[in-house]
Amino acid sequence: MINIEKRQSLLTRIKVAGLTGPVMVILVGLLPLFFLTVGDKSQLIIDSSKMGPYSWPRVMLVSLATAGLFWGISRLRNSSPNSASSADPDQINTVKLVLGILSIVLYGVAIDVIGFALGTFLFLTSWFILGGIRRFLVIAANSALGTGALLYLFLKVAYLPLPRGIGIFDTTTVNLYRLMGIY
Amino acid sequence: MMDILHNLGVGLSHLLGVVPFSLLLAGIFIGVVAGALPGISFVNAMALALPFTYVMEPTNAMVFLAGLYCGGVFGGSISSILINIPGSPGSLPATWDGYPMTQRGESARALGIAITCSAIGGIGSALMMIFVSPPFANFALRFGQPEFFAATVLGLVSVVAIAKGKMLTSMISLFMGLTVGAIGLDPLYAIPRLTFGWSILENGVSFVVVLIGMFAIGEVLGWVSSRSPTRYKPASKTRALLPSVKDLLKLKGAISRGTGIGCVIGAIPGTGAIIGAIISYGIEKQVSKRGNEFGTGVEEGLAAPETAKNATTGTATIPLLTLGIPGSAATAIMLAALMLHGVNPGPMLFITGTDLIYTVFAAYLVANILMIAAGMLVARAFTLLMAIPPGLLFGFIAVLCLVGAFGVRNNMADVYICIGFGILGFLLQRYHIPTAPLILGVILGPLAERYFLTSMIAYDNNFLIFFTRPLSGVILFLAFAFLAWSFWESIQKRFKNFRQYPN
Repeated sequence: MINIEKRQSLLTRIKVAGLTGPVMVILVGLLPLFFLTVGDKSQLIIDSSKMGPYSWPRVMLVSLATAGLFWGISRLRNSSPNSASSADPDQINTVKLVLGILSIVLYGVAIDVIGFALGTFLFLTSWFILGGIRRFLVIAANSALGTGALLYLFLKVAYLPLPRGIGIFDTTTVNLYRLMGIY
Repeated sequence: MMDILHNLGVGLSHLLGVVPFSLLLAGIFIGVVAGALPGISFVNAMALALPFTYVMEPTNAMVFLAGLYCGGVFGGSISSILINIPGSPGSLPATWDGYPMTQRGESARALGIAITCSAIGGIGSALMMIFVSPPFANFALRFGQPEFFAATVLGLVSVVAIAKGKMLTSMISLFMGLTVGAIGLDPLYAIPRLTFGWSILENGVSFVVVLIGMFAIGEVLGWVSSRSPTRYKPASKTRALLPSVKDLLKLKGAISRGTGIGCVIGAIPGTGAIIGAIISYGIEKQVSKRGNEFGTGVEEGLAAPETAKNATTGTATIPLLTLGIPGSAATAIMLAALMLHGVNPGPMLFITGTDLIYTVFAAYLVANILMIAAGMLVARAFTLLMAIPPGLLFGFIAVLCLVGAFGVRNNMADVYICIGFGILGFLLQRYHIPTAPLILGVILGPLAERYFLTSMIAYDNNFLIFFTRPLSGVILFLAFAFLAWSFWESIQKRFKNFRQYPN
């Protein structure tokens, strides 16, 4: 009975301490170490008395994992079952966060496939809607004019070789550039 | 001394010609604007401007680039103060005390302090460049690999000083940064490390991409997911308010320390504005009576790094002009501009090209004065930009940042890396882990590793070499003293508690 109570108390403390962060840090520190250890060393001929190429990153990774361990211990020690939750007072809107991350990741992937011009137009449109703007005219005008201005700035002024997309998107992008006089 | 003043007068008269002066003005404005826009760094602007310098006279080309450099180093602080996104790496500390001032509705004052202090630091550095160039060049020439390693250790130790009360989480952030900095081919054997078979990672991860991701994308995600209406508070004033002489006198300690630190750090090749600004912030936090309040919008916390940041500009040019060694990306572009015209910088240039040298000196001096007007105008335009609804503004910021990341190597992989670090930056903010040490780790990590390994090879794995060489010994002693100083308060507190409650 006492053991069950003790275990419950420990679980509550772990929950209160918010150990997700420290555990993540320890894993981030230790997982790449595994890959480093099994890495291909066949091309490696070094003097054993000198520091090898893996020494520096290993020292950093072990230090990171150790610091994460100490962080976890300190959070556990400073928490008590009766204390308030250590959650951030600045509450987040998880749905919006997931949508925000998704739209940025999709934008990153999309500009390689559908080109910078169309990708930016779609991203800006979705972002404005996500940002709470509801007037169609404002969204359409800002997305179109904004994309045009950015295209002009990056292609005509900065000469950046921005992705044009593949297949039909490449042709469409080139036609658009010609129409704008920047190709 | 009289020779220097005479040559400076001649240089100044050359500079005040219509063409050089117009180019200087154009350079300052382009620099401030490029620096202020997150994702478009002034170094990119300098690189883009390089082909245009080919059609200019060598002196005019250097004057134009000097204006761009001085304006660009300052420009980043505008976005740091107004939207908490550093426009350039050196403006990172301006987010710590400058942005809280904006949140309190004191953006005009914060901008005024930043502009004035940057100008004072820049002028101090220009004077230092003019009068102490030759002895400074000799001093930097004595730096070997152990000294460079010691200097990077000093930079890394400053993280601990900055992170009073957040020691453990700062260490985590720093080790994360040092690990990220170790990604790529190792400096001695060219063996890929932590690349997981991804060939683009063999060239390492650019700190510019990490910086854009952690701060800009992290901030964008923070805004979109926030339920708190105060998370994003636009600036209340549309102009910068220059501080009065009385206000400046109150900040005289921070400004003079910032100038001194910036000048010294700037002269060490491979350091630059960010290290100068961070070390200056760390020292100011220790020295200031309001050190414990730093991070809440303390004026000294803004003034010191802002001064130090621009105080690196003049002295960073000393190794370039006297030795032909560029200490930073910006001075490397200046070297390229000189080479394009067949001008070889070095000690001989001080004999054969005094006109060029002293016109450049005068340009640094005048650029920092004109920067006050340029900074105020650009800041005014930038604060008007803040009137745009955040829903629109953050969309454009996200696009600018991702294009900025793409522009580093013209590679989509950097865009994905930037997004990854954006998500990491957001998570670190959620867990109250400071992000600045990570950036510092990414910048200083590869340097520290290279200097350490080359020192070990050169001195037969003798670890004591770092302590037995006088210069590196002194720098390391300073680093340890800095560390002890930052721990001193907590040791004292514990000792006091122990004496009160021995059991």
